[in-house]
Amino acid sequence: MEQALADLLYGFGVALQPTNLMWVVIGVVLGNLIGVLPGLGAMTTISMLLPLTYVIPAVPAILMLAGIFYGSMYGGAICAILLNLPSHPPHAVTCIDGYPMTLNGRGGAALGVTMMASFFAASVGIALMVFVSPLLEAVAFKFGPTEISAVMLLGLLAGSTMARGSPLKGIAMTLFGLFLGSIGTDVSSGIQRYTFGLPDLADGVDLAALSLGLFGIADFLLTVDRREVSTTTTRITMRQMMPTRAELKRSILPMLRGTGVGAIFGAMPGTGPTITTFVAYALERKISKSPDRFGKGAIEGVTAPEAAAHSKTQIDFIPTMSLGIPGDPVMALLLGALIIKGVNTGPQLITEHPDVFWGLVASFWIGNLLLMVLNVPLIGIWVRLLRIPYRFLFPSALFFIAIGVYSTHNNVFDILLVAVFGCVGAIFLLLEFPVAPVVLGFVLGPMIEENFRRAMVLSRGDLMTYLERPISATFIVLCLALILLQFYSYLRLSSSPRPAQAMH
Amino acid sequence: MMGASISALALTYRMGTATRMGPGYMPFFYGMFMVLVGLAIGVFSRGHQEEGGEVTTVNWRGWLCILGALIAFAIIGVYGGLVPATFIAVFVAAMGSAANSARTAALLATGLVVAAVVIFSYGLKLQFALFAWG
Repeated sequence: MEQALADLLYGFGVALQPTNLMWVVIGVVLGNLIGVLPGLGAMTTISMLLPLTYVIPAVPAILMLAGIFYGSMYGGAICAILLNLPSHPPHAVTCIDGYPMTLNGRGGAALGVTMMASFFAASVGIALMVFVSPLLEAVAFKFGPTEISAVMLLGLLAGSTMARGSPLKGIAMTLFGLFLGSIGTDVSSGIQRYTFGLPDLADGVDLAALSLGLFGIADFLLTVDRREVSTTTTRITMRQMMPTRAELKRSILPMLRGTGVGAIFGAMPGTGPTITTFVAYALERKISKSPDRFGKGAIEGVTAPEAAAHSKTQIDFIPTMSLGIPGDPVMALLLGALIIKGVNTGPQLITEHPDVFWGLVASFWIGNLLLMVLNVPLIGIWVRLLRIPYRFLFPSALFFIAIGVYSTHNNVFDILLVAVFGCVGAIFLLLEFPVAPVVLGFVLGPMIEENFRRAMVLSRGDLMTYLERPISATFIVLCLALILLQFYSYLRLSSSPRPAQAMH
Repeated sequence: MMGASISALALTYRMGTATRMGPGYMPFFYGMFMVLVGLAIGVFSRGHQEEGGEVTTVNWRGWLCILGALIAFAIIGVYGGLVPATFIAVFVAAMGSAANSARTAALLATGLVVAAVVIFSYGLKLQFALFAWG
């Protein structure tokens, strides 16, 4: 406990260094901005800035990327509440009650409450991170290659099956990512795999090129000329943002419940933020005494999902940082960034790189505080920015993608790769295959392979080692449980004729 | 839906066979699993063939222009330098949207060329010649 506080203090020392602080600010503001802009997600932005992180050290790089991530969560809420535009899927739920509040003239209050709930939930999440991570760290010492590969298998399965859409498609996409991850020179034998004789592929596919193609370009391809123009006349002043006392009173419990839901989902690897917010909303409606108010501007319907999204966002970092298992694709990207920076991710991260870990934790707090303060004056600007037509936005973004990818290796081949992956990604999306699991598989693939091979060397090729060691056996059992659960829900779905409608 | 499973199958076959033992050990299993999952998707999606009504039309002009812009940037970047590459890539991409006229596209492209030179050449000192000949 005391140790954790001392470490935290050290983290603040790291995060408050002027250069690091500057990158945090850049990260959160940028994140906030792209959160507001529809069509540019945290995924795209982080991949766009991935090349930039090659030139700055590991700590500020990760602080900035993380800042983008949680900054965008704040921004997304603004869009959802004021414009009924779910620019990012997790905020789709916020629209249901947030936009009616705007129509009722209480949009400002909805934003104010959202910010409070977000900040509260994020603080809880951070506190949990501070105290739980060292515990995990103690466990982490017991982790050998066998355990690590078992955990990763669980992470992959969870990540691909819990995503939206068909779990089978998710698994297919994860496998595709694993395959992409195996492109390049094989570490242990030096033989080139799947390079088709192209020397440019010998180092493998570049993470930035892959994610920019799949998320950036693919998105442009599908949305050109399809985005309707949105304008708003809403003006938000400081005074409007103060909720009334009644509204405040009605928000406190949902805020706590939302935080709890987020914490639970955050601890489960692979559960996306979207499902978290939907569950939080459903829970609120279920226990509410007047469920009929929902959908017409009930403030609880805004507070709970937003709180859940934020506590989940923070808690997501726990498995990512302490075990090296990304909870969702954005985490996978962050992990990828750390690996690029030469930071050894996995159970040893906290001990080997305390500056990265504790600096990150401290920066969360600073970043969230900044967002609270910044959001008030910035909302007006963001709303005005929304008027930039998409037709100007996407060619500019395309150019930044091209030059960003080029600058990673000073190599034009990567730009062509982006084009290829953009095309592939768009086709997958058209066929309703989720693309996010690809990144998950891509980042985890090489790690799994390495650890699996090591485990096999240690056990002399005996697969039973996975069941004989208690920790890995637990994870394997969890994997099986997940698969069975999916089968069960599939059977249940197909027995009742059309329950899918209820989800929409 | 069927198209989805077919494409998944097509992908799996290529991967499933193009493997060697030794370093190909893991990829071989990826390939095998992909075949299995692909088959499963095929089987399951046949189970409920429904609502094929909402056909998403592909915007060919947008696709062509956006992908073309990237390829143009790559090629011209090598043979022409940063300035022409940027201009042409942005111009082509902007033309991908029916909402843009040639004039606005050119304006946007010029603006980004200026931004590119300032940010990347002077600001970040990127190793990328502004103009290159051949």
